[in-house]
Amino acid sequence: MKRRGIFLALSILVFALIFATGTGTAEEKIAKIAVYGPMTGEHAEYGLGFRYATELQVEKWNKRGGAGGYKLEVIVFDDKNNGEEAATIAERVVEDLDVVGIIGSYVSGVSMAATPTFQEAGLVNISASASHPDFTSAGDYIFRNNTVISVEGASTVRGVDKVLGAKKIGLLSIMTDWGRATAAIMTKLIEDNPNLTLVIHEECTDGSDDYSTPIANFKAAGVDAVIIVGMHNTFVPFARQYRQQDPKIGLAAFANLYDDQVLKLGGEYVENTVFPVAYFNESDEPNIVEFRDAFHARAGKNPSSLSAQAYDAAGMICEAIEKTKSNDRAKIRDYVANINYDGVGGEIKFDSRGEAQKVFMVLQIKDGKFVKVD
Amino acid sequence: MSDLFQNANQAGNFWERAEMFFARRRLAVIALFVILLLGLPLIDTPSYVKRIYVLIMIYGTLALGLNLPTGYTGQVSLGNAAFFAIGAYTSALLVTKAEFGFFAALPFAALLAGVAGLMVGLPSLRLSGSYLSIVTLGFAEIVRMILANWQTVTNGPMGVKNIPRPFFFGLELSLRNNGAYYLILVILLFTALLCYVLVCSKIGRAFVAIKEDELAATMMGIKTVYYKVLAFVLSAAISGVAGAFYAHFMRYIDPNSFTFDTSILILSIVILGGMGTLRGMYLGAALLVSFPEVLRFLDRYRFVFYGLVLVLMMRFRPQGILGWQSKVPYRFPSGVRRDNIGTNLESIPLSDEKEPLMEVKNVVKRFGGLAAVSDVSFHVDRGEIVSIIGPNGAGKTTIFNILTGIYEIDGGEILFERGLIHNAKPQNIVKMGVSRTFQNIRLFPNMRVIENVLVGTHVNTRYGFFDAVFRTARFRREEAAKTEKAVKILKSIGLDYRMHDYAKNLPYGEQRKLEIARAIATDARLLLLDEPAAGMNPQESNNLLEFIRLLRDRGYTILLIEHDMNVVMNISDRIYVLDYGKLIAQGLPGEITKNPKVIEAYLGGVKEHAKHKRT
Repeated sequence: MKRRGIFLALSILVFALIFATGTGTAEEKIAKIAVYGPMTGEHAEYGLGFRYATELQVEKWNKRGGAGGYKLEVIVFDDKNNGEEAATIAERVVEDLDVVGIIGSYVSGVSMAATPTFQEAGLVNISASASHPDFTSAGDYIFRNNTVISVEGASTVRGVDKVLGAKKIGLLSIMTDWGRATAAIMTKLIEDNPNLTLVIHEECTDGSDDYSTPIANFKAAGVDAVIIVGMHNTFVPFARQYRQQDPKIGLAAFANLYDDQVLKLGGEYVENTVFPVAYFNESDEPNIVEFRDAFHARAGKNPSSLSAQAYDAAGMICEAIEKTKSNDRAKIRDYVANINYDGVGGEIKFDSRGEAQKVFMVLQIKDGKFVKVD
Repeated sequence: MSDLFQNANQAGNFWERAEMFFARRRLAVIALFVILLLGLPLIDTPSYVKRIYVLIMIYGTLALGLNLPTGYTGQVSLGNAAFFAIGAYTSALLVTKAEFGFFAALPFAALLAGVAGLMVGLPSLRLSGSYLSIVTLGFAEIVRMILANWQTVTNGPMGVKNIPRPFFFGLELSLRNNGAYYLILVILLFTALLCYVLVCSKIGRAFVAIKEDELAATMMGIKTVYYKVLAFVLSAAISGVAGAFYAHFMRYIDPNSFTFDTSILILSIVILGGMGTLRGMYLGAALLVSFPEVLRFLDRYRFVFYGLVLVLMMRFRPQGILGWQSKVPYRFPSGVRRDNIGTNLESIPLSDEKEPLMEVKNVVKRFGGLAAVSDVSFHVDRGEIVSIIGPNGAGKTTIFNILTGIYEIDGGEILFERGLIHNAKPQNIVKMGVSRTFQNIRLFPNMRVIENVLVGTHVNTRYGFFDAVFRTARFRREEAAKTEKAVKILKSIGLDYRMHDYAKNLPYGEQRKLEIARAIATDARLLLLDEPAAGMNPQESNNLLEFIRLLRDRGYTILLIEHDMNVVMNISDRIYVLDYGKLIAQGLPGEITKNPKVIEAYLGGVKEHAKHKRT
């Protein structure tokens, strides 16, 4: 008898749910934006960042009454950073015809298990984080709103030249795939700049504690500034050891320095360092302030540049729905491909391969703070 | 005929009743399943559900592969993702870079993965248990590192992209046209068939025997090295085929598609489904692959729940969901009728003249400085029952270990049928016709009684891998002949009424008998029995005496180690007495009891002791 009671209760619940959702769709038109990524596990902070950013963008539009006559909804999928799950999610998402676009996933390898499905079904996919050089090669429905290292590196070189005014440059790079590839790009960029000369290139292991050998070599070569191709676990100890010997040495690095940890760990030794960013929380532009505060309220911390890129990706899809007044996937793609979007990460448009052409600003550390200088 | 299993459909728990139900309608059940699987994608289902069906079958294939070394042979592999990866990369690279078709690349994927399996299998000659698992774990990491760093070939961390789908006579096999589904279904069914025919052959029995007791398996003449490596190579080749399909199904692979997590998932399927069963693999794969999707509504708690379910399943069914020991009677090969088999063992022809069957001349065995056996000589003639007696630690079991090739000797020589056999491999000595039992019973406890005896016939079962796989006429003839032989031996020793039961369920006395039956099954002419009457009551030991005499009358020659003086004095034609590794006396039973040396060293003490006990 008890079992029958539970069964009855369950069936009522199920019917109630079907009924509830059934009446909902009858009244207004719905367009869904999907977001997928690692929502659990060690990379969950990135997936959740994408999720919050997408939700905030959609809520912003819904407050204004939706986009193009559609009420917007976000659907979230956890791929736990696994390609098989990503591919299954892709299959599931493309069959839901209310979905007009999908944002994610986090890692290139996982995303690329899903992109063939998006491409075949014709659903716009914008990645806010993929770094694989061929990510967008799956087809014309696949876009990337993330930086390419050659564009980012050019801004580092600009900072060294314009802000630090250095002439003789040393290059330090970590011995990883990324480090070697980036060092090759940087070498070319420095050589192409008439004001700068690359005098010495040193390599080190990722996250080493002792940089006395490269520092001695840099000093012997008489460099004005060093560009560090590495994460902040390399940058901070290197800066500390170099500045203890020569407080005036110029330092420059990459967008990954945009992290409060660097200020905390580096203290006085990282002062005046320059590096490029595409997104800057401390900006006083109203759309950035709005996003930062809303994100902070939801996530309890400031958005990373990847979350900001997801926010803009969602914004582009929303704008496409608004402007085309349609949930037709092909129309949405055409609109996104030719978009000129003014987002929190600056002006964004895509080239013919679907790569975002982003403009970087240069930040400098001054009095223990990040300051925009160029 | 009191058959333990006759009433099994009334008795037993739910699982056992269910199995009996299915076993009786075996062909119908298999046909039903195949029809169901063929029809499944024709039902209008969302393609993501079909995708999950395909993933289940990929992991089912992988689990069947891992089950061979891990479930059957007892070598736990933590690195099967490596073979999966090698298969995937081989096929993906051949197709994208060398313009092979999928079906042309498939054999290479299996082959290369198989070679990798050989490389991992070879250390298993020296390692076992956790050590071997660590080797497989390390191997998988090495493979992943090579895939990530051999950029010119594998494209490194960037992976292989845009891998084309398989084409079958111009038809692209995709998820949407169900081609991918049917292709992996065919792969799964072939793998299942391969595993089934192997398991139901001397190869499968050898696998399980190695898991159950490797030394005993060696003593039955099983080339353990060959079978352990074979299990790994087959496992690797099957995983390689699954990998090739996977690459063309996912269409993008990178080194991170094949991590430790993948190996663990495959292993979890094997353990959860039920190690050493085939049925468990399908259910395990279906559950573990579909669970994360089914539980998606739980949002971020789904893996907490998933973990909880795994823990609970292992708590309440540690043998795996479908991992119970089958209560269905052993399936005889077609044409073998148990009731038509006689109870009389065939006789070994004896010549009239007495000739030595085994001669041991001045054998020396040292362990470090200690001479366990020094300058011992004796001989056993055809058709004789000879006993070796002596106090504990006299070196009796050491002599058996020398005779059967477990130990190498440091001096002297041993002849069997006039050929030198000392320091030969145990398997070869068995093959020549010397077999043994152990002082502390070493049966294969989780094999059936009849299977234990069939393992005994292994050494003279003359068919190979291909006969077993293709079930050739030779395979069927040999299996039928050996099964008849096994039944006959069991009947003659009075164990046929328990032949379907598992060895561990037998009472002690019957386990001793089964060990003798297994030794006879090797076609040995000389049986070395190590304390066969130990632990038997007087009734049992009298029965045993009669059976040993019967064996002698049928032409078997018997060398006995025994403590039970009743047995020794009643049965032996001649007796050798050993003390501190030296022969101190020999002769007829009557002479031995009067020999003062023996009385002093051995019998005296025992008799004194025995008298004390009785009063």
